[in-house]
Amino acid sequence: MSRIAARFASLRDQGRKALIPYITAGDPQPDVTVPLMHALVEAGADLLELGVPFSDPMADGPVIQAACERALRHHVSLTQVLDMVRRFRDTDEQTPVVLMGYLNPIEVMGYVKFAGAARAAGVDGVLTVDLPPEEAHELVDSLKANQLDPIFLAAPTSDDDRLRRMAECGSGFLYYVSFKGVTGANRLDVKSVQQKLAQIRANTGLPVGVGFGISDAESAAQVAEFADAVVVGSALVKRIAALASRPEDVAGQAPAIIAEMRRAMDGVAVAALP
Amino acid sequence: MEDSDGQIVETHSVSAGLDYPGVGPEHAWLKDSGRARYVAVTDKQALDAFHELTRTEGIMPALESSDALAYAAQLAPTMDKDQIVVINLSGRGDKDIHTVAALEGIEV
Repeated sequence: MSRIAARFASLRDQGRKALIPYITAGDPQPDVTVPLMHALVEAGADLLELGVPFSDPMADGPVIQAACERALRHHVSLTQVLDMVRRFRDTDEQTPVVLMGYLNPIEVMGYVKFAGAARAAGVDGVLTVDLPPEEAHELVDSLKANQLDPIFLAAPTSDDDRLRRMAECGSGFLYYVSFKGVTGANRLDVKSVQQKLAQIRANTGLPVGVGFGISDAESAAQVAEFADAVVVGSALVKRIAALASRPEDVAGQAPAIIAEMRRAMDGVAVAALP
Repeated sequence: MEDSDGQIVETHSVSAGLDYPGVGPEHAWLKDSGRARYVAVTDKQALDAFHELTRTEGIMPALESSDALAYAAQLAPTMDKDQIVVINLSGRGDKDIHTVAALEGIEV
């Protein structure tokens, strides 16, 4: 069983939902990332989504675009991102790590070489935003040969055929994009997400994570009522951006929002905490 | 156009329609199959061709088309008198007058 599948199984046994923070690797500077990953786990993250910075992040809104730009100012490459995962694994063998990014850096490295290097570094899943499942066979074969979970994005516009196709070539979990738009837009409609999830579950037995637009503890708790995982990107990256001039404070301060979401998702009354 | 890490690099052309880093799959195939050859001209050569066609024919070409005209002017002298050149004047230059004016310090 992959580390991702094992994590979802154990959460299910505990009756809990996964909290998955997204950060862009190397934002605001490379030495922040590994300590920040550990701090996010400490704050209550169950899986980590690590963004591979890309010059043209077409699914991302302004917040994550700016994060990519901050990382690319330090020329953070895919090879360096894999090295960050390797260093994270020195002291955390348990928390699954999903790389999220775009195809071109992987294409340039080569699918076979990338999949082998990602496996060796301790990566568990790979989400390539701009690779539709219809075109994904070659990369998916390389990933699966290295026991890596290919994770696909379903959208409000995905019909039954497409959802089944994603269920066939994906594993680990299915990522549902909660609205038609880019990351960080404030357009979450909890009711429509809930309805769509019923359709998704009719087509796949994979756990379903919901992302795009979850901005605070309240929306995280609402989505966790019916989703298996809540993905939080822009809301966290905004905190990191605010600390960009004080990189030494990022790992200490940015994860507070994840801790708040964790408490809300687990049904712990915030007021009751010391 | 990309760097060794697969990051897309910034481009520049005075012709807005050519100022992007990608190549469509049809062009990539035509090049690889040897059915088309791709060449480049400088901004200055394209601007000169823009003025040349405007003055001599009264046709104001788009700056993208001006790139083709500039290369045709280099190619034609190497050809036989009875060989024929076809240029696809893909757009009109009215849309580019502000670009040209700004470059030449003309107020419009």
